Amino acid sequence: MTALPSRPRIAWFVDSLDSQSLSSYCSQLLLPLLHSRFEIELFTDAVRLSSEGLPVHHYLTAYRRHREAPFDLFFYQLEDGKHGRFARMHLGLMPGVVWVHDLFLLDHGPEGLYTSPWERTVAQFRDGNVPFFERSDAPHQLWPRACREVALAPVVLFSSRWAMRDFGTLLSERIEPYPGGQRVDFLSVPVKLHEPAAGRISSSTLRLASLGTVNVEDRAYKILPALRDAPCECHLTWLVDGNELTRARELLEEFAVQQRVTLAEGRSVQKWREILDTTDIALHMHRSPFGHLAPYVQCSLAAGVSVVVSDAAEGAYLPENCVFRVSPGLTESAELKQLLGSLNDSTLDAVGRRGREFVASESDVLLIAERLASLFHDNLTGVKRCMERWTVLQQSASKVLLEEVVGLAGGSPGGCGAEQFVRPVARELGWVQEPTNLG
Amino acid sequence: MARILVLGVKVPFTHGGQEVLVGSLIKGLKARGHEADVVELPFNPIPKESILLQAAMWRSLDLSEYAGQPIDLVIATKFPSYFARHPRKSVWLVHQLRAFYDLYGGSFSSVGDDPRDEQLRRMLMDSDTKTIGESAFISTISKNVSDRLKLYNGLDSTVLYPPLPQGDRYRSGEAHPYILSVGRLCRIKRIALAINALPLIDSKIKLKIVGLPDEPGMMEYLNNEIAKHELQSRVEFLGRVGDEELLELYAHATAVYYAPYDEDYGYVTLEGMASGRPIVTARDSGGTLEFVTNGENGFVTDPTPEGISEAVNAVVRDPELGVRLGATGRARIEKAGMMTTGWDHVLNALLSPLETVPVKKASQVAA
Repeated sequence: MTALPSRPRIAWFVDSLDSQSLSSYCSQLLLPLLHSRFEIELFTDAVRLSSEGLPVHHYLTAYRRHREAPFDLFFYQLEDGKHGRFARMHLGLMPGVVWVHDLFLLDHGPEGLYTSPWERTVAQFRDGNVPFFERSDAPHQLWPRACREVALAPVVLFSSRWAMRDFGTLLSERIEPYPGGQRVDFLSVPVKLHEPAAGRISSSTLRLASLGTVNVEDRAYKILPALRDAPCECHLTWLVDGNELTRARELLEEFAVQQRVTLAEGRSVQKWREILDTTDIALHMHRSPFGHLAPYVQCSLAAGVSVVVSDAAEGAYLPENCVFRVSPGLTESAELKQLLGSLNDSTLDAVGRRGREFVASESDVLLIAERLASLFHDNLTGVKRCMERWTVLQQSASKVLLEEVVGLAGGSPGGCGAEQFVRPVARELGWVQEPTNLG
Repeated sequence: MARILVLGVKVPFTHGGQEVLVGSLIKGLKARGHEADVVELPFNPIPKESILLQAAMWRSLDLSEYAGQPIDLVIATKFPSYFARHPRKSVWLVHQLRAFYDLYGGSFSSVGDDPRDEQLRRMLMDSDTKTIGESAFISTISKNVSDRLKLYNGLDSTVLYPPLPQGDRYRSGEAHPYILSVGRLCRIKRIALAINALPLIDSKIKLKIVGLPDEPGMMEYLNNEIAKHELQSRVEFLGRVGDEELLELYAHATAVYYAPYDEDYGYVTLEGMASGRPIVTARDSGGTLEFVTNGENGFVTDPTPEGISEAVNAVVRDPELGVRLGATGRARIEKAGMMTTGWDHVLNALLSPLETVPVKKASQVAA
């Protein structure tokens, strides 16, 4: 049995270390805590990446880097949106640990995946005798769910319990994953704990904050009338992106709450943290199968700020006594209004404290770094077996590809074209990796 | 005097920058008294597995001598011509097979996550690294191409901008009410973007399009876009035009539209500048951005109909602005010597292996 490396080599895929993506956020927090224990190299599709002193490469050269200095594990984060496309693409080229932030994907992904034969690839992974597709039979893929991405991974981590449940109930049986047994686990998005701001400054005005978009999924059209009709003094700070300002102003006018709302511009974790310092209640009422509350809800909880969520989707998976819930739908606005009228300082303090305790027990960055390190170590053997099996599949693909080339060169492997130039060139340029009917 | 072969790659029934470059290079070599000729093989990217076969064909060519006379130097241009073997191989890289590099996974590439595709990609990337890396001199036609070569293959190269094909014949004239688009008609050149911008552009402005389609269905697609916006009277397809006609078209365009996706270099940009026209390009147009500065000699806009139309309307509203931008562009080209003396340093560099590499048999290089 091969000894496990003391400082395993990790190929870590991330779009950037300074973007607003969740992958970037998690990487920024975790890499400083992990890089002394693992030999981490970053892979990205950006030409330049601020790398925090870590080696950084273009993701299309990962195979070459792996050949020069093999990695023990490839680590991907699966996230909806264009910035996550390259990682989606590559996790089908080299299996590894996938941390799923989005199970439902609005973005169809790179066009290269539209005809992905992943189901056949998984079948070949399970059984080496399954043939490759005829080139003309490539399937047409347009799945809103990340079936391919989770099917190809020996280890799948979910940062949302809700997504993990959906995976278990909707997908796990359909995708027939990795034959050695797929490990599925929950790993929260990390958050840095810091001392909450001093208690409420003003007892007469309830200070609310929201960072939802102007889209229907983020419930502004429920929040704003509740604010207008609330039986107490309330003021909302609404953090939006610059391109949403016009629509946000229109909504304020529509619901006649201009005096009760301050618009802040530029959604970012840093900006949200600043707003939380003067917030009593954070509204995280996003309700959609797409998108997620992280990392903002964790930031709010970590700051000891009471949180209101929709009693649906991801919000429903936060513990009952740590957050306030409102039912989405017809009564949503009325429920929120009623809730705002019923709150007092001690309730807010108690819920905020419990929320902070919860997030400390589940999402503290030190804890998550430790858990991720353990997950890496625990799965090294399984992932290694998976990668070895994958190598066999790649060799088989090489062989089939060269047979296709030989066929184009004049029919049989011993045909004139193959003999005269394909075979010598294939040998010289390393296209033949092991004995095939070419060699 | 040396015997030199320029290695070109021919996509049948098309004519683009590569053909212009090879033709100009041959002319330049002959002007210096060398014996120069072209070796071309056709290239067909379909089916994709045949790409290896075509690379192998180039690799199998023995270009060390012809009819008992040695070939002193070969100059390879684009994929897969640089697979050819020669002890004095000079590479002037137009581009690699971009579907496996910067266009990988996207709408301009048919390469996906089929394990065979992935093996094909790895074979080609490794082979590119080897066959370009073994060359006696490595250069590219733009910084954009050099950057890609460094990023994906780890190879350093010298940037040698191709001088303008019509030398000092470019001229500037009074602006007539049309935008000029020059180039092959294919998706990556984004001709449809100009068509879709036209309804937002002053209605007296027409769009003149020079070039032929080289993708199946492209003309139908463009005609459909034209019909959709009822632009039949404002768009004119001119096909391939002669040198003189092209010079005339450049000379009088209100603006030259050239906004392909991540272009390697883009003769059109420079020809437009040499003709004193403002250039309209896009932020993601790659090599053109090495020459166009927003507000100085043209416009660098979002690749949207709104962005393009705003740029064109600016020079329609203010013709003096167009004249100013055009004059700045022309001055830059003149200063860089691209209309007159540009070939000297390009040829000096490409021919440098004649001085630096002792002659030996091509078979020795292959070993």
